Parts: sequence; structure tokens; C-alpha cells
Amino acid sequence: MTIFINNTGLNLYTGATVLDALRAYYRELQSDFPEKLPTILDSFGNEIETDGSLIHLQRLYTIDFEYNEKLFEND
Amino acid sequence: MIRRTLILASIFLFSIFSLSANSDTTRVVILSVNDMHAKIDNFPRFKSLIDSIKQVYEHVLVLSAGDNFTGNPVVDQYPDKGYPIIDMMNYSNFNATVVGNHEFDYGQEVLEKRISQAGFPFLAANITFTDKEKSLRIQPYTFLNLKKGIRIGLLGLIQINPAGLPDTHPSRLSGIKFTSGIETAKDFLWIKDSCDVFVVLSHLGFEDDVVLAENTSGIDLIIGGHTHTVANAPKEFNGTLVTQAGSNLRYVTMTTLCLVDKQLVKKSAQLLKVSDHKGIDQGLQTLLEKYNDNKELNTVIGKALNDISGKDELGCLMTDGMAAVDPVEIAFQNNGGIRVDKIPQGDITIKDIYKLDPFGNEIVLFNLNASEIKELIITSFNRDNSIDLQASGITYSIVQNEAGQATDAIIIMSNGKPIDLNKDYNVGMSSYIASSYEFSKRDQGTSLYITTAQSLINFIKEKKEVDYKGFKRAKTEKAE
Repeated sequence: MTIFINNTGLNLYTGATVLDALRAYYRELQSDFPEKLPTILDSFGNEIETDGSLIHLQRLYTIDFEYNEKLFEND
Repeated sequence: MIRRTLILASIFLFSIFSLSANSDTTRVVILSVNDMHAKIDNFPRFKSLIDSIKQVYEHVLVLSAGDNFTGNPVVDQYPDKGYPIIDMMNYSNFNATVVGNHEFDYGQEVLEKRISQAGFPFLAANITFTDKEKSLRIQPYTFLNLKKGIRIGLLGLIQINPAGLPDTHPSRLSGIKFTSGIETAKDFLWIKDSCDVFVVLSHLGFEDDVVLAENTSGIDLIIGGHTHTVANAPKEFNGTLVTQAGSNLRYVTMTTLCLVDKQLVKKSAQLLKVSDHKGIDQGLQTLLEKYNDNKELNTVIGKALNDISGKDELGCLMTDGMAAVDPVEIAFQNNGGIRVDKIPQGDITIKDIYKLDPFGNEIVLFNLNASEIKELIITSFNRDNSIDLQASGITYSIVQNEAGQATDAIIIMSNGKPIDLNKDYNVGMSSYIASSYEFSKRDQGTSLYITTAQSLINFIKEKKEVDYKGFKRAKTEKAE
């Protein structure tokens, strides 16, 4: 099964979940698996839960939100 | 003339009044959940939420878009597998569910029992039983008749993967043929003409629900599941509203249908977070406590003749459980997935197994040759320059260089012979290894849809007594 995270193609076993896809994605990036998972969105902007099942050729996107206090200092 | 005018005026006014008197606006509310995966802890709150909405609206339906089972040992290990969640769905007055792929996880015989237990129909139109004597009572569609003659048509569709089967172990699907949900739906669009609102209960996944909506006409609402999509603000695609409510009963979608004279004139949906509701149904809370106090988890499934200690002994036990699942010949488990230091000598309970292996990883099957297996072992070792993979079906020795890195792995089969370099093997590994470890492979793999924990429970039940004292199948040796 092939799916895409942030347009990176990943070949995954049939029956893989979103969490499996994230593991493969960070492995592909040669990056550590993050302690705090990003928000995962589908092509329609819906949030997807990490235990969700995947569909062949599904496209997912990760969004990392980091609260930056300095941005709000003058509020 | 005046008399004639008065008569005409009376008829006109009568028509207006009678039209207005007959013009009847009805709101139908559908509360839908999907992919509950046996998570029953939120049910008392969910039931209270349903009841509070029923106090406001006369017509309230409760629907599930499938995968009611699998994901909670309290339900999955209940003597009558799956019984607790159907009991709670009955108590909450569910009106229908679609059959999700995980509905087959307990096997067809158990599924039939759960269908019999349920006070609501199980739907799926893209299922055909090739052996009619072994058919399950799964209906393609149903109609729900509300007061005022309003008729809701429900069509069920189950997910199938690129191999043409739902995501469950194929051995559980014997005697059943599956067809494409989207293509099958096109044969049932006549339902629209037989009801006032046409709803598809879909376990196809959100993306495929959108494809279905865009390639058909007449479907008013698709209530979806499978992809655990949190559709916060459900949208219409080609005039069809598509919803989905995450998973594990954390959310419920509330869809409001406004009908005037039985004509659907407006539809909208919103996602409600179950934990935001403050009430709790006390009857269901009592039932939940009864189920959660699951004596079954303390059931003795076998006996350890000696302490089973450390990664080597525990890893050998776990991988033997995996290798006992057909058609696995060689099995791998990573050390990080072994979560206790010891299973003490004596009785082994189901709870002990879930402590040892709590992650719910499934066994993934790969067809690998000797060099692919060797690469997996070497790359796993080189992650931390230490043994990482426990194995069954083989023993292996890592050959290290001066820097401590693995340069080779000598693999011996359980019959004492070296691994056959010209043969492919059925290799089972935890889904964590399958997705996290880098190694060359021609086969992308397929889940066997059984958790590593369940395979171990089955293995120990079968063996009755286990002894792993001194077991060690992976070792290192320095290169000369």
C-alpha cells in the first residue's frame, strides 16, 4: 500500500495505521520520532487520529503547532 | 356575483389554511459514532447525551458506522467475545450498525452470536455468502419508519483493501465474497425512491466516502468510519453530507435533518465531544463497572515452570507465540516491546500477557529471503550496537567489527541447518518493527490482523505449561 505524508511517498504493509505511517515517515526523513506527535490532517483538512486505518494512495499532512509566548507578549 | 366571489374567496382561504395546517416541519436528529473499537468507558456519558437530546427532539436515531469490536481486552477477552459492547449498544437503543472490517475479528461464529444478541440490524450490501447455509444475518439495507410516516433508508457498505478483502485475517472470511462498496452502492440508489431520507452507513473511509458522494446522486447523508477522521465541520460533496466522528467513542456526530411535508429541505451536522457532556447514565455506569471488573483478565491460561526472565527468555516466549500463527515460520520481536522484566514461576494470567505486551501491535507477515532477513537483523543491531531483535524459528550470531558494529549475521534454522540462501520464508514481526525498521524487502507485507499479545495468549493456552529457562537465540561474537 502506498500513502503520502507531506507528499513523501511511503510503501506500507496492508493494514498499517496512521501511526505506522508516521513511523515510516520519520524513518524516511532520518529524523527521531517526535515525543509530541504533530496534528495529522487529510486532504480535506480533517484531523485524523493516529489509530486510523489507511487507504491506498491516501494523502496526509502533518502540522506542528508550537506555542510561542513571545508572539503574544504585547497582547 | 358577490355570493360567487365570497365562495371563491372562502375556497382560496380554506386552501391556504389547509395547506398551512398540513405543511408539517419535522426535525430528525441522527447521532452517529464509528470505530468504537470496544471502548466502553464513555458509554454512560454517551447514553446520557443521547437522552438529553431525546428530551428536545422527538425523532432521534442512533447509528454506528462500524468497527464496534477489537481494541479493549475487557470486551475482547470476555468469555463471550464482544458481548459487553453489544449489551451497551442495546441499552443505548442503537438503530443500526454497518459491518466494519473488525467485526470479523472474533470469527464468523461469534459475529453471528453478536448479531443475534443485538436489538438492531447489521448492514453491508457488498457482502455475498457463497455458502448459503453458513450465511450470517447481515442485511444490505433497512428502512426505519418514524412517526408521521417519515421513512429513513439505510444502506451499509464495508471497506475492502486492494486485495479485495476487508482488513482482517483472511481465514475469518471463508465463504464470503466482497465487492467494491462504491460500485455496489450504485445498484442500490433506488432506495432513494422508497424513502424520505437516504443515508449510507459506510465503513469505506472518508476519502472513499467523498468519491461515493461525487459519483452518485440521491444520497442525502454518508455516515462514515474506518479512517478515524475527526470531521469537525462536516461538508457536502455533490449535495451529499459526509460525516465521521473520530474513534473510541470520544466524539459523536449530531446530524439534524429538517423535513417539510416529508421533503428534506435542510441538513447540517456538528461534532460533539462526549467528554464535554456532564451527565452520566447511572444504569449504564453500573453495567460498565461490572464489565470492567473483568474476572476474565485474571483467568489462568497456563503455567510457567520456572521464572521467565529478561529480554532473551521473554523474547523467545513472545516470538514463539507469533510463530505459532499460520503461516509464520520465523518471528521477530524488538526488545523495546518487552515491557516486564519477568513472568514469575507459576500461573500465567491474561493480565500478565497484556502487561508484557501492552501496545496492541499486530503481526505483519513478509515473504523474505535470507539476505533480507540478514539485513533486518544487522540493521536492527546497528541501531544501538546491541541485540535488539528476539527471534523464533532461528538462532543467530552477530559478527561485529572493532567498532562494535554488525558486519554479518550467521543464521541457523531451528532444525540446526544454516538458512537456505535460495528460499523465501514467511517472516512475522510486530507492526512496530514493520513500520519503524529500515531493511530491503520486495514484499510490502500484510497484517495478519492478530495482535502479538493475542497470539501469545493462544500459544500459552495451547501449551498449558511453558519453560524458557536459559533460552537465548540471539548472541554476538567478535570478528577474528
